[in-house]
Amino acid sequence: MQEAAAAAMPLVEMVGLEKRFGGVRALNGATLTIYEGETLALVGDNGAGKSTLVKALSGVQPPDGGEIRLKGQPVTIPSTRDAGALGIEVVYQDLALANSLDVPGNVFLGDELTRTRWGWFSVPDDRRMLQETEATLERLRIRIPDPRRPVGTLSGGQRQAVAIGRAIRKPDITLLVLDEPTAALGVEEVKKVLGLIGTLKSQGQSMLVISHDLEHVFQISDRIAVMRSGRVQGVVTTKDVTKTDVVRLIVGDIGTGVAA
Amino acid sequence: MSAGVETTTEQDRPAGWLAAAWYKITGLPFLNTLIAIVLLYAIITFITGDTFNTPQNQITIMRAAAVFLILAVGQTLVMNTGGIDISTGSMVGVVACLIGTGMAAGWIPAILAIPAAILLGALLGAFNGFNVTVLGVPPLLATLGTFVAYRGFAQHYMGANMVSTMPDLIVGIGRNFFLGLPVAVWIALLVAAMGWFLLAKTTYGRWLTAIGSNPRAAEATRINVKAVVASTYVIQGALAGLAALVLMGRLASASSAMGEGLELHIIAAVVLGGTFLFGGRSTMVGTVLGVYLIGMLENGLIQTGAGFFIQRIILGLLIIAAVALQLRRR
Ligand SMILES: Nc1ncnc2c1ncn2[C@@H]1O[C@H](COP(=O)(O)OP(=O)(O)OP(=O)(O)O)[C@@H](O)[C@H]1O
Ligand SMILES: [Mg+2]
Repeated sequence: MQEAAAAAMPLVEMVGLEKRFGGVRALNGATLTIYEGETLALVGDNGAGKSTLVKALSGVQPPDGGEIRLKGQPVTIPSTRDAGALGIEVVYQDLALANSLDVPGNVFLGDELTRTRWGWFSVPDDRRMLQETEATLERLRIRIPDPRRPVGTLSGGQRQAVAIGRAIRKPDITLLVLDEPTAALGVEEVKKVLGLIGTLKSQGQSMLVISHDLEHVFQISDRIAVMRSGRVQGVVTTKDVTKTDVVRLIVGDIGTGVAA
Repeated sequence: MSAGVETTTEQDRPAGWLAAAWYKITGLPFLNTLIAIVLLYAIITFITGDTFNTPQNQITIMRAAAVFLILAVGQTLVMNTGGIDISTGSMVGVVACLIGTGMAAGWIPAILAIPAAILLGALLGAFNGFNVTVLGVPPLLATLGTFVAYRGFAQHYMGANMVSTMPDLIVGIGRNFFLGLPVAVWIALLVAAMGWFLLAKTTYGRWLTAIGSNPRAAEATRINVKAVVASTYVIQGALAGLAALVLMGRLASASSAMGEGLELHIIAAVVLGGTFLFGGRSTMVGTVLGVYLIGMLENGLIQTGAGFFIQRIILGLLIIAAVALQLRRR
């Protein structure tokens, strides 16, 4: 099951994660390993626990039990800030962009580059932020004709690129998590975003991608992890399986899938 | 990595700049305000004949508008985060009563009254900020509460009494001229310039816009959203303290009714200036124009013989119309 990634180092290991919401066990001993440089897709039915797993990783909702290891070292991620410090960046489904700010304004929001004016006053360095934003977009091979426009006026795919650009701007991010990156996009936009994920993959970026669309999952992933009832029920190598196999795993209609 | 990538932004540049320039012109949020000012100016001049369109009368408008502008600058910052502060007039009342009686009793020297008024205002604003950010009370209700409570405090404290002497320094602020314009107008313009700088040229201003545009986006960053939002109410309070000084100087008195009804003018001016009532979009230039528009309208109404009550009717309806227009254009 893991031959494809055997040569690579485990990047993030989640072991036996637990999370309860009252009577609901959103995570029930979820175990998952993400290897260096791979694109791992996370699939599963509604309510399977995918978002809860991501929230454990991003510090939004720390788990009640279990362990997270980063490059072999146990870590605790009590807040999003800690996740950022560990190089874990999450692009949420609803994008969280400030529509009335321009592209560099969003890419650098909260981390603005500044320059000193009149010897003592620090003001935003818009020129440098624009340059670095253009460099980041170039890395994503995405073209936004006029980055000074408010992002509210951009297309869905461009907005997704801005959100991803914001996440990958920092030089050493270890894991990029994308939550439903192609949801609510038109056909052309989906193509662009999938291409963008391909670009990042060719650059060696390790990614965890949540998606409901198996078509997209098969296009971009190296491996597919299937969640059900708060557990990772199986991890398969994408090129060795068919969509039917994965659907069976998702709905639990298979005896051998219960591993992990 | 970058070689061979077909993202040559070089080619897009001219088109991009053109698009940006076009956006800047058509997207000017205060363009409508400017047009309204020109039209209204012409109409009022036509109706009133010579009395309106005189330098003397323009100075009268500006002097009355100075207090509005000082407060509208704070309101612009508050509204940019998606908030609103309707307690401004009541804060002016509290500051006027406490500082006014303090000066009259000889406890506060005139020179110290200036920082004291601003500080007291900031404290009153901080209470609003606390209620909005820490307790999570929606801004409209949090400041409706203090709108009533602060005014109640002023009335309880002063009763029907009135302070009717003011130190020369304070009267000077309200009545003197400097380079042909009232000192109060210079103060208001200085405050507006500082507000413009804060909003358009600093990281802080950008954060305000981000918070008003999408609070969740701002929360996902390193921005301390609560502290930033609370700070806008503190600034609004400090400016209410400053406005109280100017008003005390102009009237050379202090009473518990001071600042009553101001909030309506200010909110109308800010919204007419193009600041979006629900946050994320605002312009200080627009606010200056909006204040002038309201001042001119009021002056014009007086000149044409419309009474105080008619003015209120028009002001109230104007706010509704301005917001309705904003929502339509979105
Ligand atoms: N904050 C919460 N409070 C209570 N229950 C929660 C909370 N968050 C998640 N749950 C529950 O935990 C379970 C897992 O939810 P989760 O959002 O992780 O599923 P998901 O796999 O992301 O589903 P979807 O595909 O619909 O996004 C669900 O039963 C959900 O109702
Ligand atoms: Mg989910």
